[in-house]
Amino acid sequence: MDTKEIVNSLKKIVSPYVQNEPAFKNFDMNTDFLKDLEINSANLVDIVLDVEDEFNITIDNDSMDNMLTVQDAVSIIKEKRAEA
Amino acid sequence: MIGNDVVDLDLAATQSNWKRKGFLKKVFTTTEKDWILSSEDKDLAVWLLWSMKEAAYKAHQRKYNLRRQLKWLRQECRVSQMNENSASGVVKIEREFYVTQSHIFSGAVFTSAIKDTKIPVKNSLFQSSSEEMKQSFFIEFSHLHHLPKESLTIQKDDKGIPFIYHERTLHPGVFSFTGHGKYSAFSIALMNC
Repeated sequence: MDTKEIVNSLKKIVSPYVQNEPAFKNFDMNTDFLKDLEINSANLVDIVLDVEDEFNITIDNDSMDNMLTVQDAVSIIKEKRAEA
Repeated sequence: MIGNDVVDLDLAATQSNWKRKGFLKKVFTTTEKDWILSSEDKDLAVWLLWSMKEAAYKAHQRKYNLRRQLKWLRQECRVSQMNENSASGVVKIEREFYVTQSHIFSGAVFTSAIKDTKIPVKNSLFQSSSEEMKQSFFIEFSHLHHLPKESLTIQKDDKGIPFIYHERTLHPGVFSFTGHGKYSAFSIALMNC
């Protein structure tokens, strides 16, 4: 799975939680879940769980600490898939 | 340092499903989970502890100038007193303790957290847009510090923490904003901290 495929799947995962639709149109590596998409912080928990289900990985606490942007999520997904 | 957090309980009920597999485990320690599951109103218990963690983290973030991280599990909270309308407790983040005061309404839970309990804090909760809440905040701040309201602006730093400026100068006044669904609130330190 390449970066582009991961980003596309992430976009699908994040979509139901987005509060700022115009910012969602510019979804890219630099997109910040809280600052740009204005996702409610409790829904970040859902995103972490959805990512775990979708990519069949476990996101440990150290990784979860820093899962705030698309770039962060992509790096964590790649790292955890490589370990699996 | 101050932090605050409000949860619109009706919105939370539709926006989040804390009963989904794994949710509680990502956010709450075993002790907290036990407390939630033994509570009569579990929805309220979840969002009370959530608002305590979020409020304390905001105070901690401001104190140490930290960027936002998702560290719920590293914050241990304990409710020491609770009745129908309020709760008080403590949240431990790393080696720091934050004292919390929560107000419980039928539609919302609001918590403010503070590092130094000697500093008086004013909390105002609004059932209106965040714009109206901010206007009230400016009036309050301008009275408190004897500064014209028109000279005050708010800017967020690169970490997303809001600061207040008098003309172009950073003002040391400490405050926190929160908003969720129908509710918004500010908390303001009534003396310098």
